[in-house]
Amino acid sequence: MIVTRKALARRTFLRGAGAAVALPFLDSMVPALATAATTLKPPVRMAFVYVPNGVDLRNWSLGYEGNLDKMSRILQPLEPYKRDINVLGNLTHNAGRALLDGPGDHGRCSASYLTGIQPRKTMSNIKAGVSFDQIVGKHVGAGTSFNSLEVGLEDARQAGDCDSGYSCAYTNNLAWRAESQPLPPTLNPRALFERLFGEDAAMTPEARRSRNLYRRSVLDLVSDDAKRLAQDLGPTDQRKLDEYLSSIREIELQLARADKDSIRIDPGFDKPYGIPADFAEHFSLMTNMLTVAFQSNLTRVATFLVTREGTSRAYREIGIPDGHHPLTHHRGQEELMEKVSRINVYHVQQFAGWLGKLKAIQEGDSNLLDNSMIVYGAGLADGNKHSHEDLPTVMAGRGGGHFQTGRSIVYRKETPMCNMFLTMMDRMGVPTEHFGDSSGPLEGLDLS
Amino acid sequence: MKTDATCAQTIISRLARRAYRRPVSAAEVASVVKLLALAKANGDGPEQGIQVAIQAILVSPNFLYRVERDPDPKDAARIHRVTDLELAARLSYFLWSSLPDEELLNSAEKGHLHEPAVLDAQVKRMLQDKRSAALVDNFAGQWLELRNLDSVKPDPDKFLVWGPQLKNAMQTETRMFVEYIMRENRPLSELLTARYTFLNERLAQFYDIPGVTGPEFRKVDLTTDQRGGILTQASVLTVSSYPTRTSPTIRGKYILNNILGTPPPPPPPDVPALDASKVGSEVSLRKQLEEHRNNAVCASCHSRMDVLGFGLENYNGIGRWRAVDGRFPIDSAGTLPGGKTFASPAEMKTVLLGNMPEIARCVSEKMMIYALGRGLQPFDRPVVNQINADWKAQDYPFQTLIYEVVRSLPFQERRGETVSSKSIKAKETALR
Amino acid sequence: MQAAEKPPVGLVYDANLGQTIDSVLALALLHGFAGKQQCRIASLTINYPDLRAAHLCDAVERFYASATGPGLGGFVPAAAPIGIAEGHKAAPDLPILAKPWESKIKKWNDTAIPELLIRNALMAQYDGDAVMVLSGPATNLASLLKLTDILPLLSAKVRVLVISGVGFNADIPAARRVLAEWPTPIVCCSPEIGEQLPFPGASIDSAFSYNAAHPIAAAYRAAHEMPYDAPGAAMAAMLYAIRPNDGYFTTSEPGAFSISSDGAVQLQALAGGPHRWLKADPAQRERISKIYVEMASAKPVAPPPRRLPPQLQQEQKPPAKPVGR
Repeated sequence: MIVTRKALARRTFLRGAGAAVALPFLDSMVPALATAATTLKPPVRMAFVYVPNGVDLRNWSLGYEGNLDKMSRILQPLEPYKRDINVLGNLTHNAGRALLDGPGDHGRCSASYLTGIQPRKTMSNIKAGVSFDQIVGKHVGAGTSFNSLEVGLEDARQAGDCDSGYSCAYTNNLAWRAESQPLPPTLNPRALFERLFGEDAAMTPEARRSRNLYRRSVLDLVSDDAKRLAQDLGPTDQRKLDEYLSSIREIELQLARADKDSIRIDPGFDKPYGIPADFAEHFSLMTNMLTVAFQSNLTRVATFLVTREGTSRAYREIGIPDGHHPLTHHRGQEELMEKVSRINVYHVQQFAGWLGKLKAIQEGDSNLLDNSMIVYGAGLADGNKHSHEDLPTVMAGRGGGHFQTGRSIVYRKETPMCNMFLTMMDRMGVPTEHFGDSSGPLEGLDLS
Repeated sequence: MKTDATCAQTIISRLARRAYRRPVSAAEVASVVKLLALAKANGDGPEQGIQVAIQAILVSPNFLYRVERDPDPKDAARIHRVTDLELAARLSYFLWSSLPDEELLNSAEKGHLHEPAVLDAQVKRMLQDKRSAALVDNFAGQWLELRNLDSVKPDPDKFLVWGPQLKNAMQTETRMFVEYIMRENRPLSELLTARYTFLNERLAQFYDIPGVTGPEFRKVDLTTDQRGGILTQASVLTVSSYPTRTSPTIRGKYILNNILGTPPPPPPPDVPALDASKVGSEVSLRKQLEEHRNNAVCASCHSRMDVLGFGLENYNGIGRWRAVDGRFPIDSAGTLPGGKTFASPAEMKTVLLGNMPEIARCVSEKMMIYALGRGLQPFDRPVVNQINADWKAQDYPFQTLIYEVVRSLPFQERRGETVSSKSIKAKETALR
Repeated sequence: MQAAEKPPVGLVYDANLGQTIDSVLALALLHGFAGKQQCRIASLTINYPDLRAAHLCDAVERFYASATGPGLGGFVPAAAPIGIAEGHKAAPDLPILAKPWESKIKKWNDTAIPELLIRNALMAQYDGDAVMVLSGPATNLASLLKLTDILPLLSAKVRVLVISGVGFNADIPAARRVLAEWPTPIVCCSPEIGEQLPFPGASIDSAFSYNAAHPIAAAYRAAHEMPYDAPGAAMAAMLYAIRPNDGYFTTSEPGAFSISSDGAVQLQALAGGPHRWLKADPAQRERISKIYVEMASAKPVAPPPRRLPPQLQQEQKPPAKPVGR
């Protein structure tokens, strides 16, 4: 069986076909979430904001441990939020290293960032692993509209050689639903808006009910088609049909959720026209919507691939016409390193802007930032040398009031970043024994 | 007088047959028709019913996936011919990037499509059809990396003339050029050396070619050595440059990858940096890159790659001709390992032509990959050899490649999959 | 042209550096062989939780790296991390470690978690391309065994684990665990063998004199009052691990090791068993002595220039490769 060249686009089409019907505001939702020990606590959310090509470590590293005091040049924009963040040192992704596969650090680092698994070096039959955000999303998604949201700012193709024989699917995606099924980020704020707040926002409940009835019948029919096709197939084709059937299943679940609810969310701003030319504006639009999505419990899991790994995007917004990636291979030239630092600062500024929005949202006796774990991270440390240890990582938020923040914590070398993922999974209510190359949960974050 | 039901039946069976690219059974049609009954029961009109039916057809795996069956899907040893219907789909997606039309479908249904005369005739018809423009768009778009034109961002300060009009014009030029070579069945070498191209006023101005007015594209004969062939077209030159400047290394790699089919191996793992001694802006880019070749390890690849790129240094980062780069005059001479020399882009093209068999092989491999929708394996080598031998014997007319690919064994036959768990990495023997 | 040598094996060395001079000499031996491309250093870890041991290790590593100038175009590779067991044991004062060793390592988090360092190093070896040497307690190896999915990795990558018997009984639960669960063959060098094959202390003043600040010589002098010949169980283990087929040693009949509660290691004979004792042939003693001195005192050597990419030769065009592996 041959999959048409546009199969990936069609998969996206299938997902988009699902109803994006909103849920009621969080407060009235709480009774549905409350367990026997009702504490009316807002749920914990998690997000990743990923920047590529490493950072200028000279200007990132704090150079001290303990309570956050003087921020480094690149972290300076986080000064107003330094009581709410932890800066983590020596977290490592061994799966990003070569490990006998030769060059291709960009392809490896992004594909392994949330999966903890070294991807297969290929441009055709891609294989990574399931990213942990999807594991979490599957478990906590039942009470929300979307298991997870994936957003990004940079348009990039999904096939071809993006790094020394590693497919573009590796560098241009962060989340992976299955080992061969990446989840491409939504780039267009308009599309995200429609997905979250409903293109059918103007529909009457009657019209929506009709539409869902038809959709369900369509899904039944094509499900049967798939089951008939699935008889007597080779393993690869079998897998493809399995992926198809799980897409169907997901839409059915969404429809089931949609049936229960009838109120729609008003995000408080207009539908964006399209993709803004300005980077900061694009970033801001996407994070505005993620904020509302978190606030209204449309989802609890989000990943934001700011620009694709290995990108050569120029940052003319801050007067840098050179491509990002070539700059990070500065060969020690001061002028180029300076430009890299400025790009790094620019990114952190946008991130700080999002933290501000999250912090401004009251939830009970705390705020949305407190109830979240928002990780800002890079897949490489030194972009010039392609190093995979001491990955630049900031975790913002207290994970529902559990973490002690405001510190610089340096772990022992080779501490797996997957250990941090175990801790995050635990906070999200999906305790897991092992993920990627983890050796145990990350110590030292909790309030003692 | 046709009832609504009969009407619906006809519409749906016709649509499903086209969408699924095969005859559909009565049961299949009936299950889709049921949706119309559902709509009626729900109080909606027949148009709504048809809408839902169309939705179902377009979301069905029978439409979304190209289904090809094996008698024994887990036996990789059993090679067999694909059915005529499967062949029809392969053919139409290859040449038209779309599903078979009625004529092709009929021919397949009747069971004649695999007969050599019938197959050749269909290929001829389909190539002549305007839908074969999709072959150029999608094949050339990927092979020559033209799609990257949509995402490159040349620095507007360095390249004042860059803009969407120029970009579209560049893309159109190369597309029309390759399409011409395909439709007119020109020899492959003309891709590199044609003494004509396709221009509109905008692009002609950019190329400093007089006498072309108006926004429409037309075939223009070239009178100077500055332009001629894809390596001198602005599209190719732009996608192989950085936002702010040219990169002979990237251009050389482009030629090695896409034209000669001898891709350089990736750089060594610890990213060889150029010497810390700042070469800076005191010497030309060419001189700076020569540092690559002072180190024996770097030189092994760069002595070939960079030199090819130097041959194109007369074209700036968006493909405009130049005799100087800032303060430095362009020196586009070079010596390849093996001794061949050239002193200008035109001479370099002549040198490249000496490698026609490699170039042909490269194009044939890429066409095979495109047609088959999979990478090539060692067992494809005899087929590729055969295709190239036949193609060379005729002196490489472009369409011959397409015919050869369609006639080839991998295009017409398939097999199941081996179900073993071989590890990807070769294991070295452990024991002494 | 000699018969094609197998590519140099990757050596994982886990040692109680500084507790005995023997383990330090074995490290010098390792560097000597690595300098002659007869092995590669895959990872270095310390099973003795005293940060000063990491200082010592770091100082030795920087001594051997001093021959390495900037690489291709000024590129200086970063120093490999050193793993060390954590425990902050209040150690009896050891003469070697009492010496201040100059090092960039200031805190525990300048060092690596040892079992993870070992695991990550093994993942970068081809199958069957690694050999492990343990000198001292099996603390780190026992931690290694607790990692998820470690057994298939060890089986695939590690040819043999060679243990120096000295200091092995300092952590009996760990020793038990390793002897019971380790999935590859084990060869153990008893302390007696070590005493039969000492390091000739007289060579310290001669063979190491090319550098007045030679850290190995300095450690040797600090360990005991000179002159003395240090017993060399760790060195024997290292020599066997790197050159098992050169006739320096033989091995006993196969069996299975166990360790008693008072720390004695015994081999229970077992046909086809995975464990053996290392045996020394008295006739080899002088030869072994010589190689000890030669390798331990070998001058630091820059790593060899990187091999040229196999496909590309200067004159010859590479053949068109089939696309899409």
